[in-house]
Amino acid sequence: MRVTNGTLVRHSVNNLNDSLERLDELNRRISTGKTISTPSDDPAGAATSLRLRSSLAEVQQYTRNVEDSISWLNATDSALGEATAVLQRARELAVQGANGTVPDDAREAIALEIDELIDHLVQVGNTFHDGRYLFGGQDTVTRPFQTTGSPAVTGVVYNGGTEPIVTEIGAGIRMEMDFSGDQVLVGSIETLIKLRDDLRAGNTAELSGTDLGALEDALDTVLYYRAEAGAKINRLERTLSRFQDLELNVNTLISENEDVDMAKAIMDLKTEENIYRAALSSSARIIQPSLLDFLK
Amino acid sequence: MVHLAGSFSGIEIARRSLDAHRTALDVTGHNIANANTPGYSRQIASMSPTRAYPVPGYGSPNTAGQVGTGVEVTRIERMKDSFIEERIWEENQVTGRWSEREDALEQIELIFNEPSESGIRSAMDQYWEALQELTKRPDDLAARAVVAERASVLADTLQQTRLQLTQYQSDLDRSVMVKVREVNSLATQIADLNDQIARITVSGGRPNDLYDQRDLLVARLSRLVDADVSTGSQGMINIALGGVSLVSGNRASQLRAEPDGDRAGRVSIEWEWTGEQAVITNGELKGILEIRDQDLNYYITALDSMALTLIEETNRVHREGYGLDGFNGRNFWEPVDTSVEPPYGQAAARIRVSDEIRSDLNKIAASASGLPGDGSNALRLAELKQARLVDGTATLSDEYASLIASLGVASQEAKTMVDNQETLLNHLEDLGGAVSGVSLDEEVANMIQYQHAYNAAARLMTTMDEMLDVLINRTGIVGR
Repeated sequence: MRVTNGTLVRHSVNNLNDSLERLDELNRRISTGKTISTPSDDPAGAATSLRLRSSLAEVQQYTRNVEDSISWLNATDSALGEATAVLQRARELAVQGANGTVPDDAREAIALEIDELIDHLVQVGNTFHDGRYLFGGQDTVTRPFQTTGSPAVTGVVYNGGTEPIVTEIGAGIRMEMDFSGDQVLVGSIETLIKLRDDLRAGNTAELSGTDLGALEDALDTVLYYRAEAGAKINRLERTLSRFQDLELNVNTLISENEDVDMAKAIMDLKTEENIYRAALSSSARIIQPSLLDFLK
Repeated sequence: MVHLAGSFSGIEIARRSLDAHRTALDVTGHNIANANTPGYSRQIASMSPTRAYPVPGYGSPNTAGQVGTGVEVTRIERMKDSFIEERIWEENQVTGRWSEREDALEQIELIFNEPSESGIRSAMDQYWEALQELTKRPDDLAARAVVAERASVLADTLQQTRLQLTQYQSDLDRSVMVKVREVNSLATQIADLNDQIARITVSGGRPNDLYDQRDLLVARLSRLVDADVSTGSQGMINIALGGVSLVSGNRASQLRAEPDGDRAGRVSIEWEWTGEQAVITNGELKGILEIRDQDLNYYITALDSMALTLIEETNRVHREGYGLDGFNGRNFWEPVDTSVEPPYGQAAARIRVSDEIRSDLNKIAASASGLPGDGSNALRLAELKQARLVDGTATLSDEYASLIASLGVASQEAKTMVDNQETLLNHLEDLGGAVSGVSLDEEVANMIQYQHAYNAAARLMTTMDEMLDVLINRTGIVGR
């Protein structure tokens, strides 16, 4: 094929430009560290990237939800621990008071201590944690336990909600985060009130019979819910650990999808640089001389 | 045998050679001067022997044979392969269209700005996150403020993206008008050249340089529109566009780009004399019109559809829930009236958090039971992220990712097509250049050749002159 000077120059310029285009792309990759800067670089990869980043945000959100739940349940566990201590002391006192040989004023002293224990238990029931009542269910603004009677407490009313607070700890996976006070503590408080009244009245038969029995039941109830809380905390901690692994995996996938293999990119850059220099040198050699240089 | 051509015929032969080779040198000089002129086709002085003597006939003298009488330049040939040129014009149309698509789709990719942390995807994810946080603290004013804020950011991002897309449509309109003016200008110039070429051709000349100029103009025109070129009379060409004549001999029609009330003020292209729509099926103009009318509308509609789905589904769930004031039945987003602009009511342009909510965050319906600590309606709102809201098969996130993927594919396709076309055009230019290109080495070699022939002819003339001198001045003067 007949090749003219014009053809030679055009080819040289085109090839140099192609090389510069490749150099430009490599430079961009190395400077940004990303292989995908626009969807057209890798359409499927771009869609995957969007999905992965969305997943990462989800995992991080669920992690926060789980952490919040653990904090809430830990506070619940602490409160129930306090309640247990109260009830155990009450049982000691009940055993003391049930003894027929105890004099009236001693029984009165025990009754006074039971009063204190009642107040304490009500306080535990009204624990305010992180802006909400721990045992109020979904009614987070109303104080759950309201006592009646003054100066001695004669009854207790539960004013809180009955539905639990629910959080999502995974896609579509909901967990109840709390226990409402009417299930957990109302019985215990009422038991203590009756205990105190019986002590004051000196009903030793009641004291050693139904009252002690009721106290055991109350302790069992609180223990049950403590165990529940503990079980939930365990489950949540396992979930947390799983999410940490998941977050790591998703980040790895994102990196594999989007990040540049630096070593390869730098090697490609060096190779392309050499090609460019060779092209420049070669073009310079062939477009300069012509027949005129050689004619006398 | 008698030398019958006349005593001075030798000088005439020399003179003819000098003439022809001077002409040839001029042509060579013209080639060298125009070696870098765009569109220039090299020219060759075609030489052929002049008619030999004697001319055969009844009264012709009886001689030893035909004697040559010298050389003449019969014509100056223009070296051009029209077939290759026409192929180039065809491929220019395709290149023009894909080149505009490539540029435009790149622009659209930049508008969407994905994948990134500042695009629609990120804004949507942060909105869902805010709802999740509200689930845990439904009565917390700070959590409500974050929900309202993130929702506003999402709305702004959608609106901004849509606005940039519609503004780009307007920008493309301006581009259409500029290119239509160019088409008109080229058509006029081509008609003008046709006129000049016809005049010269009719009187027997070959306007080679005018042909080159006209080819250059047609090449530019073919990049803009699908120009259908056909040969006319007297060296003129006719150009048709979509079946209607654009250039007919020395007359050019003109196009007009006018904002069209029927199409929301978008510019449409008509023939000036008839007012009919111009049918353009290839070239840069086609590429621009396609992007403006099809591709951009597709992306704008997709955004509107997504926004409308988000608004309607969120409002549906929100209305079932209770605010902190104990009331239900409220919308979270301002509802969009789809009867005004069917089918999606330009939702992505109109999406915004309802005024009611913005003025009183307590009205955000996080509760399903009315209790302030009940965040289960907020949970239902948050769970819309995973809900298959689009045609019952895809989530909003899936739909968006799929939109971005299709944008990527379209853009990639355009780039590949442009690369392929450029390779093809380069090859065609090589083929064309092989025929029409000026090779300086070749021209210099020819120059030497013609120079030698010229010198030899001059030498011949000197020889004849001396011989005649002998004949005229020194013959028959014996004894003077």
